[in-house]
Amino acid sequence: MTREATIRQILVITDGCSNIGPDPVEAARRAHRHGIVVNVIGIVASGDAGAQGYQEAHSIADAGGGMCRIVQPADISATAQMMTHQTMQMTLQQVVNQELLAVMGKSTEDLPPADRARVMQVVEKLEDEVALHLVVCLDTSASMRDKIPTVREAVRDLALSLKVRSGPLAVSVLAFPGKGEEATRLVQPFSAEVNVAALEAELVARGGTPTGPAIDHAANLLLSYARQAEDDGPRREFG
Amino acid sequence: MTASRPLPPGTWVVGKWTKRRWRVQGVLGTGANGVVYAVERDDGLKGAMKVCETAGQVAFEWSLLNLVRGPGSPLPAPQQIDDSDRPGARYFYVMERISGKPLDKVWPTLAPAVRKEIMLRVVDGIARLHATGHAFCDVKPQNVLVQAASGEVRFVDPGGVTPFGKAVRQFTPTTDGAFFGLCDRRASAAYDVMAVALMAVSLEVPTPANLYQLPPEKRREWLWRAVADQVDGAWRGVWGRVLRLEIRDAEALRAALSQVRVKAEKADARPRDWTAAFMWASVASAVLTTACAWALYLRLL
Repeated sequence: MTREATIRQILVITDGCSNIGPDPVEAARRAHRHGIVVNVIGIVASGDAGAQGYQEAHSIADAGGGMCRIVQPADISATAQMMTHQTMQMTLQQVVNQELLAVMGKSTEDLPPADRARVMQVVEKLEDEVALHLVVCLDTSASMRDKIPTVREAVRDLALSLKVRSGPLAVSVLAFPGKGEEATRLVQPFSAEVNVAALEAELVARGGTPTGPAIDHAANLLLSYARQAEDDGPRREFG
Repeated sequence: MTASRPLPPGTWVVGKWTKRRWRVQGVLGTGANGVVYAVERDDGLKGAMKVCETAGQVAFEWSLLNLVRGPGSPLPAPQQIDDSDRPGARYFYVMERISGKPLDKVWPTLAPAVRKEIMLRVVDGIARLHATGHAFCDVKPQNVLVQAASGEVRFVDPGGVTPFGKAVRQFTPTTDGAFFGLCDRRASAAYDVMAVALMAVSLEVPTPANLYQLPPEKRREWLWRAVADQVDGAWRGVWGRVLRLEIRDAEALRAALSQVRVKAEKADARPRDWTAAFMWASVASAVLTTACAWALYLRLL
């Protein structure tokens, strides 16, 4: 199972409410229908915009089957790592649950708690070995200006955490809004490492917050990367 | 997955599987993935109850506690895992309740010789954990509890415990070697030893707010300066050797720490006395000068 199995995730890091393009909650729901989990990190902001933004952040994560945390800029890095880990665990647990249901007619919750611990050891092993495709969507709207260096380092740091797993890793980074008229901009295509130079050059704060288009773009990237991996996957394995 | 309000003291939680009952006495702490309550079992056994959002997280931490249990374990001994019908405590496990204060709270009050003793005990705890093939990973002052009377040191929060060689899943940037670009984020004896050194630095030198927006090289520069300029001179050599990866396991760190010659308290007090005396002298002369000036001014009027 582990060789073909891939977990697909989108991580949105934002400090406010979307105000351009389609509804981000609907975009997250569409992505989740394709087996993609959407996590959201909201950066603490003040006032009404903050409260409204938190509401939206939670709704996106709920629709996307993921988690949402509202944190100080300094905590983005550790939170991103924790959320990625926990939601991978949740996804794998759902897979294991389905297997258990099929084989034994029981879910993990029906097992005595002590036996669940053994199931979780299996989940833990899978989590280390499974392939992870992750798109990080970074809010680069005007209000993010002074937080961009912290976010850039947090993304670099997240890659440090993920690349020591045994399973393969592919990370891509999107900025929203993009340059000129573009709603989103691909900062880095899928790769095993984060290209810090690209992050430094491409992350410029300006304009509004097209969160919905960013989630749609990220989901499309993940799905087309999956098709591509399917097409030349077997050859690569034997090669 | 929204956090609910904590259970009020006096609430009874009834275990579905064991039929045991626990009475909530208060909240001990709120972590990244759950709440810990002080509880008392129906037969009077005191414990700490960890409640998580999912059955999986509870089962996972429970399995970690069982992997590292045993006499002399620095982590709390596991007591029971169970479910209940009470909202806010659906899935939980109960462990030994560890008393004491977090290291960052007691550190400023400790004499240099006691600090050395406590640090050696932290390293002993780490060594015991390493003997089971696991690293603690989330070494930070808040996770190290010190008992005032005995000076005994115990660790709380098993969520970071990771088998050697696997990716670290829970850490704190200021005590994470990878954050400073000093090592990778993989569980090992060296990772924990590095975290102990970074924790020791963090106890004496506050972390600047802008550290998080700097690339790892710049963070490292700050760290070297902090060790060179602000850390107690007696310890500087040891922590420097850890950060240069010359000390890579608990045994070596214990040996190096036992060589540390802490200052006697009198020697520590003398330079501070001079500063204080100089300051008071300056204040006094300034007051005197001002008084004289006023006197002259008023008489002239």
